Amino acid sequence: MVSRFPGSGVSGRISVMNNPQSNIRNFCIVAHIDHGKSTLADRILEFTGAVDPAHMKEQLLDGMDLERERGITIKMTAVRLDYKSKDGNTYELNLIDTPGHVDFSYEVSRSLAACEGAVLVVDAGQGVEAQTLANANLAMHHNLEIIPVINKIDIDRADPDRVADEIENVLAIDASEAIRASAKLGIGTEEILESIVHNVPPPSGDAAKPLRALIFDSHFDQYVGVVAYVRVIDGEITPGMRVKMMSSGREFEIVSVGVFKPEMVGTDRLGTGEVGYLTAGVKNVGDARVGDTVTDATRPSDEALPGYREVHPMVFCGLYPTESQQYTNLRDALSKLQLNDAALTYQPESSLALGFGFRCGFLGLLHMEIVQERLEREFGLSLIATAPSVIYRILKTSGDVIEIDNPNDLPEPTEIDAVEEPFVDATLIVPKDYVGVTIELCQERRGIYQSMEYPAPDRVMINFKLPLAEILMDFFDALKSRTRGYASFDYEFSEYEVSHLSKLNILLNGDPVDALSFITHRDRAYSRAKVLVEKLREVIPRQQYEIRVQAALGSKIIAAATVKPYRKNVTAKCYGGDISRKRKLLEKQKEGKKRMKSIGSVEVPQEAFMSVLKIGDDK
Amino acid sequence: MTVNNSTCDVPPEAAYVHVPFCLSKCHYCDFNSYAGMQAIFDDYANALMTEIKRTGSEFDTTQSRPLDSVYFGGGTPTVLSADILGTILATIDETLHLSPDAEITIEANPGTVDEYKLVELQQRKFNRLSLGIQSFDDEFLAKIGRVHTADQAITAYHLARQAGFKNVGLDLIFALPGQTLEHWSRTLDTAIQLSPEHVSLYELSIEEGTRFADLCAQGRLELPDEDTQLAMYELAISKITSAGYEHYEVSNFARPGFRSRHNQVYWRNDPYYAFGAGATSYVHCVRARRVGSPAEYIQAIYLGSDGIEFSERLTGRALVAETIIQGLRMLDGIRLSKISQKYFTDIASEFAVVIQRLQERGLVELVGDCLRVTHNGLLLLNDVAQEFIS
Repeated sequence: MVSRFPGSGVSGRISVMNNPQSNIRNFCIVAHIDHGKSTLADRILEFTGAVDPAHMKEQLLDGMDLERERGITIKMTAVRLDYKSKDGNTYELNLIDTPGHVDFSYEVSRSLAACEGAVLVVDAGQGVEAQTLANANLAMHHNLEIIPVINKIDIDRADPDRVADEIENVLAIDASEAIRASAKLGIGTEEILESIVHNVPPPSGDAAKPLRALIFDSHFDQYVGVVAYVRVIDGEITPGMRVKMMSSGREFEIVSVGVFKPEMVGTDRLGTGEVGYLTAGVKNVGDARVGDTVTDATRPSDEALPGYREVHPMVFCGLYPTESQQYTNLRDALSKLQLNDAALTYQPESSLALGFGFRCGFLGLLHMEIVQERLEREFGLSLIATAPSVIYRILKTSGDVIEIDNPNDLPEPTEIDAVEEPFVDATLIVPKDYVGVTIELCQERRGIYQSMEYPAPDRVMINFKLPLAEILMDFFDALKSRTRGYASFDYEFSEYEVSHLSKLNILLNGDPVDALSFITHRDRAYSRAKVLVEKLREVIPRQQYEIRVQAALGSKIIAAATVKPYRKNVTAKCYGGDISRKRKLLEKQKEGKKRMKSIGSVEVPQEAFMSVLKIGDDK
Repeated sequence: MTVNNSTCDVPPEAAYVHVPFCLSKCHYCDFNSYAGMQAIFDDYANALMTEIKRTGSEFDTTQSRPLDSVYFGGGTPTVLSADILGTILATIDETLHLSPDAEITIEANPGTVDEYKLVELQQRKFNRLSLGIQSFDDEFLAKIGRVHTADQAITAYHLARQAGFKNVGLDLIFALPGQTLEHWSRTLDTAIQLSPEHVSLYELSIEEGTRFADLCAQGRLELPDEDTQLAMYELAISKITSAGYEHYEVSNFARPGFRSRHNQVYWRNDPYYAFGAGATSYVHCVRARRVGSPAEYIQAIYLGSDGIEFSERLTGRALVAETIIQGLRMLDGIRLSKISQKYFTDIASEFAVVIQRLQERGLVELVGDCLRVTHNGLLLLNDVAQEFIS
C-alpha cells in the first residue's frame, strides 16, 4: 500500500494550537503541467519551516513514486503551515494540493471547494496553457481569490510582461500585481505568502452551527482504515463524536482527528475553517467519498454541502493475467487498489482469447495507465490490457436503451436503431504556426469545430467537440508530435450524440479474436482495419504455420495480411561442452512461449492487444 | 520417468582444455576469451597442469580408460608457445594416459601460426588442426574483427599440410553483416578447393555483450534476412556434400573417416574431462563449470580449490532430454533402444506421442529403432528439440 508519508503513520497526539478563525488561510496552487507547482510547494514548505530543506525529498507533496517519476500530481494532499507574517501575526496556512490532470477534474473541484484562495502559477516562458485556463475557470467558479504568479522568471525565454498580458486577455484576471517568482531559486516565495495572508479571505463558517465538513480526499491505511481529508465548514470535529456521511447516511465514531505537518499529527479537535484529517474506523474509501459532507450524527445539519456527485468511470478496458493462475492475485490486487481509489471499478469478465480477467473502469487514460503500472510494479503481475473503450449508448429497435463498455456486448446490427457515443469539449492552445495541423488532426478525429480565439498575438485557442473514443486512440501523442510539443490540451465531458459506429472484428486464421475487436466510425473502418492488420502482421512473430490476419465488418472481410511461417529454426552454433546451456535455453524459450497468449494455434504477444490503440494517427 | 544414472558413470575417454586468450576480441565473440593477458600465460599454464594432475590423482586411473580424444580450444590456444602446449599435453598423457591413436585437436587462428610452430605442434603429438578461417573475404574478415587476412589463412593451411598434419578442419561463419549469397558461395568454393578433412560452419548469432550486439542495438548492423540465411545454409550443404563430404551434424561435414571424435562425445552425451577457466566438464553425471576469469581460475587452483563455480548432477528427464536433443543434431540420428538401455527407461513409449506428432509434421523419421531428423526437421531442429523438453 502506498502511504502518503512513508514511515510516518499516525503519530502520537501533539497539542497543536487552534488558531482563531480569522488567522486561518486555506489555499491551493493550480498550474498547467510543468509550470512549477510542485517546486513552489516545496519552497513554501521550506520557507515556513514545515520541512528542513536538508532532509527534504524533492517535491514532497507528490507522495507516490509514480507521481515523482511522471512529474505530475495524481493524488492530492494537504499541509498545515505556521507562518509568521511581516504584520507580526502568526497565521495557520493550509496548502491543499490538487491533481494536475483532466482525469481527476472532479477531485480538483472538491479540493478547490475546500479553499478560499488559489495561487495560479504560470510559466514565464510558455504563458497561459490549456490547463491554466481550465484551472483558473474552476477557481473563479468557486469564487476563490486568485493570486497570479509568473514563475520561472530566471529562464532565458522568460517574458513576464507578455505572460501578464496573456493572463489579463485570456483569463480576465488583473495581472498588474502578479508576483514574479522563481520557485527554483526561491525568488518571490515570501511575497506569495504575504499575498495569501492579506488577499485570501479567512474562512467564513459558523462555529455554532451543526458540523459540516467537506471530504476532499482520502487514503487507506492498513492500521487505521480510511483517513479522510476534510475541511471543516461549520462547527467542529472531536474524537469520540458520532458523525454521519450525508450522501450514504452511514454513521461512524471519530477515532482521531489531526493535521498534516506534513506528517500526520493528532489534535484535540478540528475547528471551523480548519483543514485536517479524521479517522473513524472506516474500512472502505467508498464509505468516505470525495465530495461527501460529514455532519454530527446527533445534531445533523439539514443541508449538505453542494457539489457532491459520485464519479463514474469514463474509460474501460479488460485486464487479464498473462498466466491464468495469476487470476486470483489480480483480483486481490485490484481490491487492494480500490481501497485507496474509489473511482476504480472492476468486475469479472471472460474472453475466448484471453481467458478470465476483469473489466476495469477508469476516470481516463492516465488513470488507466497508472492503475496498470501499479498492478505490475507493486504487485508483480504480468498483464494483458485490451484496447480502452468508452461507454456507448445503444438505442435498440425494441425501444430499450442499453449502455455497453465492451465492444463484444454490441447487439446484432438488426437490433440496433442507433448508437450514441460520448463527446467532449476540447480546448487546445497552440502557437499560431501549428493551427493548421491541429485543426487537421481534430478533423481527422471526427472533431466538430466550435470556435477560435487569439489570446495573444502569436497564440491561438481552438475549441473542438471531439468523440472521447478518438482521444483514447493515441490523440495526445499525435498532437504532441504534430505540434512539436507546443500544444496544450484540456477537455471536459459534453454530451452523448448519435454516431455511425460499427464493430470491427479481427480474425486470426479465421477465428474471431474477441479481445482485438473494437468499435469504430464507419467512415474510418477501412483505413483503420488496414493499419491494424498491418500492425498485427508486424508484431505477431513468424511461427511454424502461416497465419492469416483479417479484419471484418460483420461477415465482410475488409483487410487482410499474412504472417509467413518461418522455415528455419536451428542453432548452427558451437556450444562447446556446455550442453546443459543449450537445454536451458530451449527451456527458457518454451517458457517464453507460454507467456504469449495462444489463440487457436497462433501465439500472440502482449503488444498485439495494445496495437489497436496505436492506429489512430496513421492515415 | 525413472532413470538410472549408473551407466553415465563410466570414466571419460575425452578431455577438453580451454585456453581463454586471444590476440584481440572478435566483434561477434561471446566465448570465454580475453585479449591482452600475455603476462599471465605461464601462470595459467601452470594452473592448468596442476588441475590436470589433481584430477588424475583423484580418479582411480587404474579403472579409467585411456583417452581417445583431447581437444585444445579457446580463445586461441596457439597464442601459447608450442613448448607450453606440448608440456600440457604431456601432463595429460602422464596422468590420464592417451591411447596410441588418440585424436588430439588444437584450434588455431591463422594469424598465430608459422611453419616452425606448426612443425613443433606436430612433433608434440598434436595430430588434428582446426583452423578458424571464418571467411575467405578480406572485407568481411576486417568487418568481424579477425586479425588475419584470407591469404594468411590459405598460407596457414598449406603450412599445416607441409608440417605433416593429415587431419585439418576449417571453421567458417555465414550470415555476416552485408554478406550476400554470392560472397558466401566464393568462400565455400575456396574452402572446398583446399580439400580439408573437415568443415564446420556456424551461423552468425548476435550475442549479448559483444561489439555486434551494441552495433545491432544502434541499428548499425545489416544482417542478411531469414530467407538469405536459409539459402546460405542450404547452399553450403549442397556444395560441401557434392564435394564428397558427409553432412553428419547440423554444422559439421567430414570426409569419410574424419568425423570429429571429440565433438561426437558431446553429441552422444558421453562423459569428458575439462580443464581451464570457464570450461565445463561432465564426469560421473555431474556437469561442472569452472570460473571464467583466468585470474580467478589461477588463484582458485593455486589455493587448492577446484575452481568450480557451478555444478549440477543431471538426473531424470533433463538427462534424457539432453541426450536426445544433442543426439538429434547428428544426421544419423539416435538409436532409441541404446538410449533406453543406457538410462534404464523406455524412450520409445515415453515419447511415443511426441515422436508421432513430429512424424506427422514430417520433421523426423523412425527407421526401425533409429530416430533421425528429416531435412525440414534439421531446419526446425529447435522446434523438434523443444518437444522433448518438459
